Amino acid sequence: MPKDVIAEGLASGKWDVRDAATFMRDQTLEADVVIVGTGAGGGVAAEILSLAGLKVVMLEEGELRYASKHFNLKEAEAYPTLYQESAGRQTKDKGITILQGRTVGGSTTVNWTSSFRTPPTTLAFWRDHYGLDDMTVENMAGWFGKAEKRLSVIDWNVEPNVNNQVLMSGADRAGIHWSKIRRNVKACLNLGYCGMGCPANAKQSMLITTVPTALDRGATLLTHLRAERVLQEGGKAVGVEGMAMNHSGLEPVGIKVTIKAKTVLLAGGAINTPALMLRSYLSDPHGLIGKRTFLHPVNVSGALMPFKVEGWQGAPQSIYSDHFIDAFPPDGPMGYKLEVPPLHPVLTAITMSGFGEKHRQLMQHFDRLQVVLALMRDGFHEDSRGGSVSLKADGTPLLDYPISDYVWRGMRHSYLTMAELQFAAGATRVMPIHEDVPGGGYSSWAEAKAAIQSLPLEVLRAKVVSAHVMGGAAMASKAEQGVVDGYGRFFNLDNLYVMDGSVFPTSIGANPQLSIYGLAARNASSLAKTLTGKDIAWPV
Amino acid sequence: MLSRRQLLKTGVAGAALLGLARLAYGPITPDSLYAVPAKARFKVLDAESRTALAAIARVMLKGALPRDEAEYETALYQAVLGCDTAIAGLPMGVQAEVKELLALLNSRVTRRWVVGVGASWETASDEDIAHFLNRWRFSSFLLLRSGYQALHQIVFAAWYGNPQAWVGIGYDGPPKFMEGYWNA
Repeated sequence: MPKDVIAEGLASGKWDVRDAATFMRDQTLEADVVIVGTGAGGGVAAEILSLAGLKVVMLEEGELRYASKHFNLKEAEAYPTLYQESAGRQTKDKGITILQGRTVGGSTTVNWTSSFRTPPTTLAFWRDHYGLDDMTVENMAGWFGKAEKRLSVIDWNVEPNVNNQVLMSGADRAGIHWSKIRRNVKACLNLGYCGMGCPANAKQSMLITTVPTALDRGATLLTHLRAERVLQEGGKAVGVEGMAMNHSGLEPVGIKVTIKAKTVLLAGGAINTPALMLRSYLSDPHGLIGKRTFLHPVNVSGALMPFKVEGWQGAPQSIYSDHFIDAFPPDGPMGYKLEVPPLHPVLTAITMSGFGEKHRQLMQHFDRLQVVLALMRDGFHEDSRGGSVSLKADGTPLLDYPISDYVWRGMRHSYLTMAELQFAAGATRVMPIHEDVPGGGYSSWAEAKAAIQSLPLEVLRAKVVSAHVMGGAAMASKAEQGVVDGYGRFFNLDNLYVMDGSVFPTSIGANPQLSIYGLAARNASSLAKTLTGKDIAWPV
Repeated sequence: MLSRRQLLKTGVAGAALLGLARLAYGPITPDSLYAVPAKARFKVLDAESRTALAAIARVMLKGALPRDEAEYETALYQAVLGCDTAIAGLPMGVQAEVKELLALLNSRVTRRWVVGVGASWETASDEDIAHFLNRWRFSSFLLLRSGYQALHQIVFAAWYGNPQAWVGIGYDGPPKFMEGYWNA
């Protein structure tokens, strides 16, 4: 029988996991470090700080699903239980729909395992524009290497699924270079259901790696707990106040949980971390909290192939192209990365435009549908300043992300590229996902090319989605430019740190999980040294 | 209270529901036949919203809903129930927005002047409903476009989230062998 680290850990009786949804009265806990969030940043930090012998309390708004039995691979259950806002979190004008995890392990529990080190161009941009001088490729390589070792980031040598093969062969024929994607998996069954939680514990998410280690080392995990505000006293962060949520995670049950801690570490992910900082009325003299939030806005192109694609099967992402990241310098036209998504009925049906017979005709060819994505590398050009997080009346976050003309131009360019390579790979029809594209799309590259040139590019006509949320609590060497320094220390209050994707001063230009792991490992190790005087060997 | 005929027409009833009502409540007066079990099963949608959504889903899912009359009613009922589940899973703030949208669909004045459907949802034709959907879909008002997209998202998520809807799309569902994986 395969090993289920979560089931065994819970059964051992040694883990301190408490579900706040069951709490009957207010409570107070004490810790050396309280960590808000159990995703890529919080998970890695929790492991390293626990290894340093510190008493860690982890707070998670989502719930603890066993890695095995509860991941039943059904979209209808996975989205409401494992994602922020039922996988339907949207920007203020509803123009962009965002996939972001909300469960133990955060987005790492539901991501598609794509693992990229922070690109050298991105690090160079941070050094040049944000004074992060020591973030060189050489200095960071060690941390990425450690994270890769800890989380089993491997070359994926299994044959790509057909959906990815089309990207590969189309790119070849269109003269666009491509490469293979590395993945954080062990004994992967190549199922294709990563987005619904790995049912085989193959994905090395925080759920089955760092969070269990932290629990083994005496950390406490509180689930169904929404961090409401950072507690401050005498110029220091002294803890976090949280609200217990009900079992569905939708409503607070009116019970307050206070965690008093000497160090407070925020890792709720971009959008949520800046929102928590805003709710806490933290000092923000330069008005930077929540600003410059990036999404890698994604536009989408569907194609019907003359052969079976069955895009729900096999590793979702194994091939990518950085052709138009490499071809366009950061101060040039919008660069974008090409990848493919997994295709499952709900996500596909809600993404495809139109309704009635036309929509159905497309769904009838669901097994021959191929889809390519273009991720815009936002945040590098002065005409790409990202979005801004504010609070709704109920205190939950709202991201306003206006799509600039510069970004739209990148999307038009990528619609063309995607259509060209899909036809080159043998597509019989190509349909940019846009309301103005006729049902059934275009039947030739020439037709598509002419039509795409004149597509009106505006929100809620062009389908724009995102699965990568970054920024909003940017790091920089100076307080005028950033919310935290390069080690995640908040500039305006002692003992408060941020270690998640919100510290990135731009987008990454690649799927961000490994960038978060590497940086969080570096910064949590530095924090462990500060707090205990010890150098922590990691990974163990 | 909707009449039995209206409920059947909009698909918010169906044989299964009837059976359930009888099982749960025994012989009951015709007027409360549908309302009682519906109330028990629907978390957020009231009768008016169920009727509007059934009419909209009927048009959005044209070609996807089964042709057989009895199956059709049950499937449409399932779709509306799925919409209810989908909406109930949204954060409370977003649920409030969806309810505003439903109120707009339901009020006679806004249904006529904003939605552009003159007839009640029970009697509106497929053409009227498709016309309204396309008008919102391509509207120059962002708010109307977002209303259309919300309906699109809710109805298609509700429909294709149900394994019964996978018939005819070449998809067999998640791999069966995983069911026994942890006990192997």
